[in-house]
Amino acid sequence: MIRQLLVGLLLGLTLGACSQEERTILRLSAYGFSEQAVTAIESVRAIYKLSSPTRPPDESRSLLVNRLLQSKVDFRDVRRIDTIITGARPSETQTSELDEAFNDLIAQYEATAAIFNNIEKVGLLGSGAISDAAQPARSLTVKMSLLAKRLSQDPPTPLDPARVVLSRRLRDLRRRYDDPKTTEAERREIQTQVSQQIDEWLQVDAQERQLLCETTARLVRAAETGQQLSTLIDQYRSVSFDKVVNTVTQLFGTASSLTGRDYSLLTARIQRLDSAIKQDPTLNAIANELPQQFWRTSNQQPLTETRSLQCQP
Amino acid sequence: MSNSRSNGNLESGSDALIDRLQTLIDTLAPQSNSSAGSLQGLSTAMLEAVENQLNDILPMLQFELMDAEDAGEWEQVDRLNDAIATCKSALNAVRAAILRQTVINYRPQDIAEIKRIRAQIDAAARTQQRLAALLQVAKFIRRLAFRIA
Repeated sequence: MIRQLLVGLLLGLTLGACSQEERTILRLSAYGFSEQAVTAIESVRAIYKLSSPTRPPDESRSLLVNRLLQSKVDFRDVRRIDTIITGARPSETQTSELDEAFNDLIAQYEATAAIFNNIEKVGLLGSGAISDAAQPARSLTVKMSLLAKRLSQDPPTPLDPARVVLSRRLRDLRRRYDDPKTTEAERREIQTQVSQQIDEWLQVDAQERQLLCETTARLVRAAETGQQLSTLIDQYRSVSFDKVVNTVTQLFGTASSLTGRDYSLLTARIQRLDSAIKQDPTLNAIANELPQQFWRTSNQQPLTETRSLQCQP
Repeated sequence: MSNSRSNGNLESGSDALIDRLQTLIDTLAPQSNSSAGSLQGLSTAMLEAVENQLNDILPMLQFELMDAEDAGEWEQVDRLNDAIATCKSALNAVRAAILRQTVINYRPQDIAEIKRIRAQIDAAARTQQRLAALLQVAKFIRRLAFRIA
């Protein structure tokens, strides 16, 4: 017991050697890294979500009415009727194995951030503990890069449901074109319609590419922040207050580089970040020293695309 | 509504796809168990090959489903809905297995290290709490000693 207390006393003295600014920069960097990584992983989760082709609402309703009036249905089986009406299948509402995998990955980032969030307690373990924590942080940085590489090498096709709808239209046009009863004038009209469907198809391709590029960019950005955190851990005894401000600006400046479409996704995270900073006296003091860019995003003014998204794997 | 095929053709096209899906599922897990745990033993290359095929089959099944709905082939609609749910579930399981093999389980020793550091932090915090409590007791005893003196 006495030995433990003596060790505790000695370790407590080590904490004194680590300045408030040094602790703040590590805490902020780890928080920024974790936030960026989690946002990036959520983007990946979204593009791997398997959706279904949609029909116009009136068409869907008409099909549903026909089904309830024409198909063999046991109306006592309310679960079955519910599935027919809502389209909700139990297997699709459960958490998928892929969701669990993404949750596990997110947990790794949050666990690492939690270590640095308790940086005062880490100080109790001595300066060596901070260096020890650097290795897992570097590993998580690599994981972000691996995910980005995987996405660029073998991209998913989240907009396939839209392609199904277009492909059925093309098939129908082809049938009308092949019909011997179709006149030459109608065939010319069909050619125009096919051309329009090609344009729509290309738009879907472009939209999908943008989604993939944005997600890849987020992964890359998080990896860069992880790299920065790793460097900071190595140099944490020699950083200046100016560097604290610069680093924090870089970390939180991410929000302004995202497009308006990501605004809804970002808003909740920015709010969380904002309140986390306000609740921490040290962070709040540092944040007050930051350039206006950070506060613009915190106040949730419309985000504009100040930096073009680079999709370089 | 776009269907102009005979019902016989509609069913045979869907059936061929459903058979193809079943063959792929059988490839994944001979014991008809497609959970992520059982897929971990398969190579990443094989999983990726299956992923690509499942990803190709899914929109084809969705295409057939819309045709079956338009044709009012409700039994076929049920079969296709089941097949689509199976395909999505298998695709999610295969992607989860690939993700675990290539990213999540990369350097598992680091995850163990994170847990170790967390445990150390908790232990150090407890020691600090005990130290603080002991110091309070010491201050109290000192004040008490002064009063008695």
